[in-house]
Amino acid sequence: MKRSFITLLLALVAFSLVAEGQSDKGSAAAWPKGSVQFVVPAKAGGGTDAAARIISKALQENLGKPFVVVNQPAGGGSVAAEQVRTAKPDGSTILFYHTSLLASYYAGLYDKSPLDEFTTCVVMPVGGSYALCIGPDSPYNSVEDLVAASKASPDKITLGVQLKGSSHFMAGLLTRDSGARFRIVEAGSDADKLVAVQGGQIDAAFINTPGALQYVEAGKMKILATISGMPERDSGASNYPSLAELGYENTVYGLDFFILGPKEMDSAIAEQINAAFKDILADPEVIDQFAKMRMPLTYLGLDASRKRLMEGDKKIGETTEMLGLR
Amino acid sequence: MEMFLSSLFSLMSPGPFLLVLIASAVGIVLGAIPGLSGGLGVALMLPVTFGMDPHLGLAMLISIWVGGVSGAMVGSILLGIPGSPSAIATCFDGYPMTKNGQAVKALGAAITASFMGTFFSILIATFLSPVIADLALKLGPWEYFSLGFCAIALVAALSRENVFKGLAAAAIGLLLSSVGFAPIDGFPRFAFGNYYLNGGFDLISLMLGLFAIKQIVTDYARGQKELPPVDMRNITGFGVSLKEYLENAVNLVRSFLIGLWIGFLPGMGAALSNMVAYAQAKSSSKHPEKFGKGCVDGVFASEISNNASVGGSLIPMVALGIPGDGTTAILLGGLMIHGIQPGPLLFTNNPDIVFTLFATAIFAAILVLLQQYFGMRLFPMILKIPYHYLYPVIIVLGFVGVYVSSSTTFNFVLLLAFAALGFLMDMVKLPTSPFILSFILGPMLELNMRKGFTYTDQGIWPFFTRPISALLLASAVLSIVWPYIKDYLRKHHGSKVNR
Repeated sequence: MKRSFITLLLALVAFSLVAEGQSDKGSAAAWPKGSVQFVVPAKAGGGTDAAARIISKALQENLGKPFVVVNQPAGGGSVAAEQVRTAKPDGSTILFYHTSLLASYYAGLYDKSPLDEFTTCVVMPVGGSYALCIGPDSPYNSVEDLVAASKASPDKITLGVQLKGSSHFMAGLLTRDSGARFRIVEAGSDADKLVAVQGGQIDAAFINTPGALQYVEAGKMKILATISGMPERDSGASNYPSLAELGYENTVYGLDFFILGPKEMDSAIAEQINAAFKDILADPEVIDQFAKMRMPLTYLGLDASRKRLMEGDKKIGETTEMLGLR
Repeated sequence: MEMFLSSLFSLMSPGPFLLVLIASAVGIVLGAIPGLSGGLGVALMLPVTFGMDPHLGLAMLISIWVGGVSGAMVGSILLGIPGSPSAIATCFDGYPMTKNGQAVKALGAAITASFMGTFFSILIATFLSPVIADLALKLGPWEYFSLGFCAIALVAALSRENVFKGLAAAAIGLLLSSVGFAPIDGFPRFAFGNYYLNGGFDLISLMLGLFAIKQIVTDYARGQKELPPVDMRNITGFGVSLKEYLENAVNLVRSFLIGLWIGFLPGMGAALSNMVAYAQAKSSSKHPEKFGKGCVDGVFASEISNNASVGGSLIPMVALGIPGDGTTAILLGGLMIHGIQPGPLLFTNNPDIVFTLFATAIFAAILVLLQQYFGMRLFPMILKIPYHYLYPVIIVLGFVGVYVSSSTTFNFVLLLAFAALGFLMDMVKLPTSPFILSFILGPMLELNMRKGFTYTDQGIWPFFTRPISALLLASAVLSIVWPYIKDYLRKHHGSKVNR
């Protein structure tokens, strides 16, 4: 009885080794081998989740293998990142997230460097911009007015941001370039900021431009300027100057989506993932969906992606230090 | 109006009709299964709407949501396990009613109250959204803090036999809610370097541990007891007499308004409104001693208020583009996928979308009512299933629910730990509702308190000098001390008479 059990066990082990070897041999060059887990550190339903789902759907159609979006919002992204970092480096588990992970790293909320402890597969800069908004009855009519007012009475003019989020970095860059003395306060997500600016609970806030424009049109808010990853003004809101254009040259900050894999991942797999993204980001249907959501994505090749992530890493590292977030 | 009717008519064509019917049934089932909820269904189905006509997609999502909020009471009433946090207070009287053999009556009361809540709140949202939406802008962090504070005080005061135990339970809830990243500065507290704790304790694990697992373990430990056969005699219609509705008219209207208001406030929804409405119903009832022992008033209060929050949370969403609760936040995401930018111009730019939304909600409410009317005689069959089949199924569903909502196995540990905690709290007779309410509200309280401190130079004063905030704080204190004052006055008065 015992012996037969051991024999059975050995047979199973041998069989699985053979099976493993075969599958390795058969598709060493091809990604994906089987189903791919797309780990997204955001709740289902938000913008990041929607982007991940559009992309995974397109990948699934193109590559004929199932792509499963796994939402893992726990721990502000750290749980999702760890899940991918410690996964098998065969490309079956990859992380879909954005610049916030770098910010989490530099702010000490996550202790593994996205740059050094992961394999960069593709970085996708997101178009669109953020707007510096004020209430409809606000006495200020330009960024200069607002900055001057904050210098005249330091720590009185409240500027709403999401602490340690993109808007906080924007506020930090503007403060550095303009010497303004804002009272930088936590105001939550964009939806919360919209309420607080309109209700006059805070004086100004950085809010995503497409979201803000409607309120401006309805006469419930004013936009003073915009900010994006590029110094030029946002073509989607060409009536408003960019902060860089107004002379705050370093006040440039944008969001990048990226795909990261475990550190030991083969560079050939990273290459293939990158190539797969090149195809889907050129797909008119995908372009159309992102355009509708007003977050056009740009594709970057593998080298360009790594370079972009390195630059972002450096900039966020510097800004975190300047803001004293560490 | 014309647009509203045409939206309603377009729902009558076979395709959309079938879609709404199936989606609302799916919602009821998701709502009834502990750990799953209509909100989860909406999140899961969202990507499916990519390829659909925006009107149909939206109709599907809304129907799942309405079904989910209405279906959550089934578990609460029949098993004492809330299908979702929106039906926690429904357990308090619904389950005792089942134990008294009045399961069908409890279900009937819950079904009709749910319907009234959805129906009238949607009507109000349809016609008054643009008018009342701006109210939400007037409230700052000070008011939100005071509101949360007041809600916890109301519910803690409920345990009137022993207010201190109520307050102690609320304190434990607040303490547990402070685990994880702190609001505002994101400092990880009490996480001990464990990534899984960084986001705090998961509400679903807590709820299922505290209700489902604990309940089953307790029942098992006490030995199996047969529930009385469901009394099906004299059941006509919904099993609730007109007289009972009339007697509860004030209760119904008050609970409805509480649900509407709490749903309307950004960031708060049915999970809060059901408990506040229940607390209010009990504290202003002529026979508070009957509550908790199977009083239909409690079921009415909880179920009309959680469904009234549906319409309530649609008001700021439609008029301002601001989500009233978690599910409307997902719905907003659904609109954006179709290139519809939510905001104050939604009514002007996409009236068709707005009216589809309202028309579907009303239509789904009616279909849910019909489905549950026929289901109400079938649901109690669950109780005929022998325990040795039913309990394992519930335990498995509990574990599945925890995993689906969090996708980590770590939360299984939490589930069991919370079951143990619930057990301990039972032993020392600490009430569950203040505990779970302050756990839900904890992060919101802290966030708004700290925001309130930073927005002005005046520190704590705006909490007392802003009128609405001051009013809420005063009523919170009053709700705790009033029973004592009343006792004192009665004694004082009494002794005078004696003399």
